[in-house]
Amino acid sequence: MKKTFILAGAAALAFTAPVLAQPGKGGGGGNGNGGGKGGPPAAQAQKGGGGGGPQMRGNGGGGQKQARGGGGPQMRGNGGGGPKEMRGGGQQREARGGGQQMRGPERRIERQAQRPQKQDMKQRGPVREARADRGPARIERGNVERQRGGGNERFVQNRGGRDQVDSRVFQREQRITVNNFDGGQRYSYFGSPSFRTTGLVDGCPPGLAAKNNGCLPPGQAKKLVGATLPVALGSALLPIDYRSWYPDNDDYYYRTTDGYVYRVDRDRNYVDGYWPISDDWNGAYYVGATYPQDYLGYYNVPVQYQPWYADNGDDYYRYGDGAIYQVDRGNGLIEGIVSLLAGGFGVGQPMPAGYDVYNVPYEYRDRYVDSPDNWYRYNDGNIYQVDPTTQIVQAIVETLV
Amino acid sequence: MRGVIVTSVAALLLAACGQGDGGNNAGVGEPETNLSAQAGVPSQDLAAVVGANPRLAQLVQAAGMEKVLSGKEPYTILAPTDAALNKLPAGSLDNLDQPAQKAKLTALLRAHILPGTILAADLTRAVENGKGKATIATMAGEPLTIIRDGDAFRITNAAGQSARTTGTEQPARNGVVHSIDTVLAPAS
Repeated sequence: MKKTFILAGAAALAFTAPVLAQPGKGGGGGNGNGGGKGGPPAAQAQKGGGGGGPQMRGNGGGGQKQARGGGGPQMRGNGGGGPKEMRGGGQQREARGGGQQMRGPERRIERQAQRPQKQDMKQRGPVREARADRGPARIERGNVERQRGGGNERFVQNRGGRDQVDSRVFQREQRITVNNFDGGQRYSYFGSPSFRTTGLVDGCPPGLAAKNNGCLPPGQAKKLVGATLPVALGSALLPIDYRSWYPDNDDYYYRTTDGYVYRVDRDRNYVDGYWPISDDWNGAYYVGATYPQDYLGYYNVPVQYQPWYADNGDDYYRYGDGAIYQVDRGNGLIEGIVSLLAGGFGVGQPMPAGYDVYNVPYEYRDRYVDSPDNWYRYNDGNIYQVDPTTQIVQAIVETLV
Repeated sequence: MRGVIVTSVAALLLAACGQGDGGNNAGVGEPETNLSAQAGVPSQDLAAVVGANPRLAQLVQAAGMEKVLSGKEPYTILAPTDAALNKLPAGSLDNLDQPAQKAKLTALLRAHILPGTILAADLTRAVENGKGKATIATMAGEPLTIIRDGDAFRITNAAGQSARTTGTEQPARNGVVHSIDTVLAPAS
C-alpha cells in the first residue's frame, strides 16, 4: 500500500510537471512538494526566481533545464532534485539563452518588473514561482529512492562515487559584472558604496580574526574563491544533512572542506562563493552585529527557504549559524532573524535526537499521520518520512514553501 | 491517477486509525484516536500569542526575532511566564543593547524554541510511547527531556534545569505556545 501510494503520487506529479513548468520562470533547486498532497496549486507554478544575491544570483534551478539536470554526467553531487530531467535551470537558463546573465542585481530588477504579473497569480513572495517546478523533482527523488530499494545510501551511491572535476572548456559569453565585484568573481564589500559611506571595518564576529583586510576566517578557505576547484575537492560532497539545503543544480555544485561550503560555478568549474557550513554556536550572529563580510556577497539561504527569503532592494538574506538573517544592504548589519534552522536531517541517515514527538504543522496533519509503518517529522521547512523501526530518515515528503 | 492517490491516502489513514496506538494526535483522555487533536488553524500568529506577555515580547524584540514568530514556519514556543522571568538572577536581562547581552539573549530564546508544531497531545503520546519520557529538539541544539508531571509536563535541559508547563497550550497560526514556570538557560 505504501509503495503504491508513493509511486502513484510521484507518477501523478511527474505527469503534471510539464504543465506546471513555465518557460522563463523557475528557480529553486530540485526540491519541491510531493508526497501525495494532491498536486501543487496551479498558481504556484507561475512563480519563479531564485534567491538572488548581491551578485551571486542564488541557487536557481527549476523546471526548464530538463535535459541537463542537477548533476550532469560528471558532476553529480549534492543533488536535491532526483532524476536529471526533473531538475532544471528555469529562469536563469532561459535568460542565458538570450545572451543575458540574469543574475545578481539584474535578476532583481527583472523580478521587480514581473511583480505586477505575479500578484495576479497568488499573493506570495517574489520567488514563489519556483515551487511548482521544484515539486516534481522532490517527489521524483522519493520515487527513485523507492525504486532503488530504500535509498538509505542514495546520495553516496548514486552521486558521490561518480564525482569528477568538470574540466570542460566553456565558451559562454562573459558574465555581467557590476561595480562592486572584483574580477567578476566575488562581491567586494569594501569597494561597495555601503562601505565607503559607513567606513564599517570592525565588528568582526567572535571566532574570526580581525584583520586590516576584513574578517578573515581561519584557514585558507578564501584563497579558493576565484580559483578552479582543486581536483581533490571534486568528490568532497556536503554532509548528507546539508545536501537538501544546497543541492547541486544546473548552475552550481557544492563541495566542502575544512568546515566551509564552496559553491562552484559549473560552467567554469570555478569557486565563486564560500561560507561556513558548521554551526559553531559562538554567538557571532545577533541583531546589530555585522554579518561576516567575507560571506556577505554570497546568497547562501538554503534552497527550501529561497522562495521566502530573496534579496530585495533594502535587504539581503543570509544564512549563518542555524538561522537566516535579514541584513541591511546599506551597512551590512544584521537587522533581524527571520528563521531558525535546526539541521540534522538527512535522507538515509538516522533521525537526529530530539524528534521523539510528532511535530507536523496543522495543515499537514491529515496527510501525514504516524503509523506503525511510517513516522513523519518536520524539520527546516521539510516534512520527512522516517522508518519507526530503524529510525532512518526515508524521504522528504513535503516542502512547506 | 488521482483516484489512486486519494484511495491510497484514505487507506493509509484508516490503517493508521486501526492500529490504535500509532497516532500523534490523541489527547490524554482518548489515546486510541489519531485525529482527536486536529483543530482548525488559529488566526493569530506566535508573535501575537507571545505578545500577551509584554516582558517576553520585549525580549523577543530585543533579539530581533519578531519575524521568526510571525513568519510561515511552524515553531513550538516554551514561553517562560512573567514569574519565571522574575526568578532569573538580578541583572540577567539588563543592558540588552550591549552585544554580549544580545548574543546571550538570542541563545536563551533559541533554547525555548522547538521545530514544528508540538501539541500537548503529541507530548502525551510520545511520553507514553517512550515509556515515560521523550526528547525534543530545540533551536539551540540541545534537546530537552520531557516527562509527565501530574496533569502537566516537566521539561529538563542538558544543564539539569527543569521547568513545568503551566496552563493550557495556546495554539497559533504558525505553531503553539506552552507556558513554563522556569527559564531554561542553555548549557553552553
